[in-house]
Amino acid sequence: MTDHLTDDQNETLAFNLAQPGDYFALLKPRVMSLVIFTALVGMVAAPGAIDNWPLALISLLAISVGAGASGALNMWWDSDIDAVMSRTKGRPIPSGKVQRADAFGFGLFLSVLSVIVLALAANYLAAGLLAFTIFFYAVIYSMFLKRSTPQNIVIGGAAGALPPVVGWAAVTGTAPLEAWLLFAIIFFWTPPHFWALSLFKSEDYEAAGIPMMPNVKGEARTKLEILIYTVIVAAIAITPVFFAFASWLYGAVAVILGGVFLAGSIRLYAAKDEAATMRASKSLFGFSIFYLFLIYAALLAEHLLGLHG
Amino acid sequence: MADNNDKKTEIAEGAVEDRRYRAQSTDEAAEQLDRDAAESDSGQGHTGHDDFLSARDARATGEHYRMTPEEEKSRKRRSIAIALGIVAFVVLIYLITMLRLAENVGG
Repeated sequence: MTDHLTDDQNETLAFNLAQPGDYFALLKPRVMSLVIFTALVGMVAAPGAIDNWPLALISLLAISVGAGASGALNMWWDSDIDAVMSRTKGRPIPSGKVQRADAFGFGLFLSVLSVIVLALAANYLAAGLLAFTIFFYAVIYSMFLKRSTPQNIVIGGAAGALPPVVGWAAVTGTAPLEAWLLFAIIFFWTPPHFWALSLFKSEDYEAAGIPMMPNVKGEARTKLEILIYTVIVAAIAITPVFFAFASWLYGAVAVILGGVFLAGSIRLYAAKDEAATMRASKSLFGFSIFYLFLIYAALLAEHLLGLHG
Repeated sequence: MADNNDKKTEIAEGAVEDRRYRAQSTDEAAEQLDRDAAESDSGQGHTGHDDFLSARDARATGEHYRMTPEEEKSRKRRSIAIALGIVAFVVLIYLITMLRLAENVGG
């Protein structure tokens, strides 16, 4: 856009060129796909067979739209820092394709719509949990935590961890301890995942003024905390076996994956020079995605194939 | 009342200026702004981008804003997406209602 114009004028110039795809990009499709997957696992792992699959699928759609809506609200709020960071400057608002106000309206509208649809298709508990998830991500994490504390992604991780609980609640109307174990796996997985990313993107976060752990407490402390959280997540990932909603087969997968995750964290912790730290953090970041996917996929497969119990 | 009329006239004049910036594309509009700003700096012409009013201001006065073909195409695509979204929502609510009814009837 043109440098000498104010933000409002630039937004006006871009207003009429926005495509439907730009609005879809506001929903963070990759995050949405992870939410769909984890919420589906929550639904399938819940006790008792799903007796109404069409309603369960509509509920899943509502959960994913709700997650996307919170992504749009996050992009609305963070458009200033998104424009500074290499990872996010191509997003619809900083790239000038969508106006901030339109992203806000879009996110708010879809938030309300998704909660209403989930209440109609499933139940009020699931709808309430979805509403809380959206509120937590858009308001608590984006508006308060993200720019104020290096614990931002630790506490904020609760928003990303809630979808399996919402899924569980959607098909059972309850949210027992087992559902919160699924929550805990993602909750304790989030810090090593994002801190590994922030180790090799620390300049980006520094430029945007976001107090991520490496910028505030330093690399050594970040590596130590990554190691601690990896131990916790590896241990928690095994607990479904003891709560009888996963079999020994899942337990074996969780132990092996946890071991590999832990080995990656130890390698990162032991990395002495800059190059080794970069390599180890990139490798750990990549594996963390693979880890979460496989842990949840193992649970999904067990329940779909009837192997558990 | 007189103040209101003055304000309307002012906005309408601004809207006419706005159309100049909405020539064929956003790039041309930006170039037009650059030229106007240069004229303004040298003491000629009007006052550059201070006169820039958004399309929304123009609509408020009843002035018409002429879109470029590219903008019209984008608007058409957005309109189609909105229409499909509304249809999908209606179908979704219908499905939920029928499935819930079937559940209740089936006990």
